[in-house]
Amino acid sequence: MNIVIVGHVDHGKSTLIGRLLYDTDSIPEQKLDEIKQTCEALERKMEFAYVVDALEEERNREMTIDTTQTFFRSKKRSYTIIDAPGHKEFLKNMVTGACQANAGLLIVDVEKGVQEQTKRHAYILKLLGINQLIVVINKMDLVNFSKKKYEKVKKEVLKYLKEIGTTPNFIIPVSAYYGDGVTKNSERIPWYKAETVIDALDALKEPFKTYDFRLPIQDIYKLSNKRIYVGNILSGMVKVGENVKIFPSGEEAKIEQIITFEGKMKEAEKPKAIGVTLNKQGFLRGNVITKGKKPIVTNEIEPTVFCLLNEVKEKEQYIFRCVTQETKCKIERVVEKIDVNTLEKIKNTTALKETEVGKVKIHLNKPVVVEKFENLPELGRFILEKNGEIVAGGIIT
Amino acid sequence: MIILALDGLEYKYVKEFKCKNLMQKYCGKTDISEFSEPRTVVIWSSFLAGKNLEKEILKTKNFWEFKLNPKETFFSKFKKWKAMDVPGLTYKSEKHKKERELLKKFFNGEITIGEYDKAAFKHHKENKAEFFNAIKENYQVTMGYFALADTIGHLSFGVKPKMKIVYKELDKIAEKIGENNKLLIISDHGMKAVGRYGDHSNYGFWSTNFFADLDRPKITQFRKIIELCKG
Repeated sequence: MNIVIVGHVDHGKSTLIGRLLYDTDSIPEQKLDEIKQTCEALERKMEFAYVVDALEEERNREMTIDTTQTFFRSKKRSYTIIDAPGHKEFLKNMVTGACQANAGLLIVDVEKGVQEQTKRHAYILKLLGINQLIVVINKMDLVNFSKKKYEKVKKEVLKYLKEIGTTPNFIIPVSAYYGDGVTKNSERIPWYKAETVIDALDALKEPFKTYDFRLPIQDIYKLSNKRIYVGNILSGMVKVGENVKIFPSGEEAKIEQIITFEGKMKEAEKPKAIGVTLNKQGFLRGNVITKGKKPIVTNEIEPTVFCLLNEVKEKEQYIFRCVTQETKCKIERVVEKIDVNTLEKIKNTTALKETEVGKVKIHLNKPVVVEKFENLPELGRFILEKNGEIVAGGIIT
Repeated sequence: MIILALDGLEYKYVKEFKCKNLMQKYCGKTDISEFSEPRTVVIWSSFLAGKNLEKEILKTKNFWEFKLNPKETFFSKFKKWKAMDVPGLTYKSEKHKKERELLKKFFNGEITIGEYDKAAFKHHKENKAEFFNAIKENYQVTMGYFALADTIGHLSFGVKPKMKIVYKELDKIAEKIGENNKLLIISDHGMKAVGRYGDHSNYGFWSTNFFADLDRPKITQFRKIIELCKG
């Protein structure tokens, strides 16, 4: 289960991650040994802050694609916590498919309340279709575990989330530093008897949902007079002898063979890399072999676009990439720009600048095969490139 | 007056770890660019003498053994003074030699970092006890030297959480000295990370709890300031 942790920079993300790892015994002993020995030698108490420091350093060292991924296990299942330094990095990774969150953990400092960054992050989760959300009201120790203060911030959070159309699954008072409410209920918060953070995580729904068979063709190999169409199954399963449709043309064909590294198979399912031979030929890289519901095949889209570099401008040409599909495209129109702080929809704009979000009408030079992001993220997200650089990412809504 | 001589104390870590007792009221970097290399004995001796002794010290057979006559240092201006483990003056050569040997042993794969650290912590503990006993006495100037940041830093400067604990320990020492004394905190050089290890950087650290009109002073400038503190 992949959880993205978001919230204002000082509201305690690292401390909460540290606490989750520490209290679920997910930190290998030797990682903290040197710190423990130093504390002992200098007659200092082993403070939780040192644990957080050590983990943070470890995470920074292991940071890849601008994002850190931390792993831990509850009694129920395994989790990956995705943490990006800012929303821009997170967005980039989400829309490019470098990481995929199934739920969000929004952290809010009880003393500071809802900040601009809190709003922005919550809204981005909404835009990305992350519908499961745990709100953690942190630093309860600083307000003497006051129910009144918690209720006040809870009200603020709920008010904003309602405006953006999100309903959180849980709102939990915690002190990540001291561990209250993270993996066990605290006597210091006697007025809160509901789920702890770990209970809430375990209560989230499994992300896995079945979707019809989709296999974008990545490569085509020649085998005597046959063609092997190779790619990764994005969803569903396929059997030898089944009829499939290949889009964008929609032509029908029959699966003759399924070939994998392990040899020939009778059937295969997500996420296997396979090669198939068909009773027809002439399909190209970027075509999508499908079963079941017809995918969206179009050369006009109006997705939500996140500008990641420079700007996305009307009438400009870009390269559109979605899995193995690639085509030139033109921004017909910037329909609206969304101010993620005020939620104001700004019309009459011709470009999205770096970090801005908006709805954009795009004309593609040739039809592409896509899906709604919420149905199948891999075919629901794309990137726009200019001069070899990714300037924007988008999702089909 | 108290002089806290902290070998290898790095300005950037003092700031980053928010060691407010080490920063005191005024703090900054020292200029040691006049030295060809940031060598411990050379810089501390030059600090004591108020002049660059690099050439003279490097001519000696074993510069770790180099010892100044107190008459050549700012201590000559004081009647009652104490200098503990100060390189170039009262340096406990044998103990430091052992530490250097342990460092070699580590790189030869003979001992672990834990074993190397252990000796450094032990030495630090002894110096700390001696130092706090000394400041109870009525010395006009007490100079305590602590090599902890440098010794631990050589094998762990890149391990920030560990160095933070070390710096917090030194910060605690500065705090414990109290505000009743004029306090100069000084390092010979700072450090820079080389992977998890540490190498000497080309500037040092200074801080005072009194105004001394310093910006980026040379290490040799402090002699005058210390002598002026005699009042």
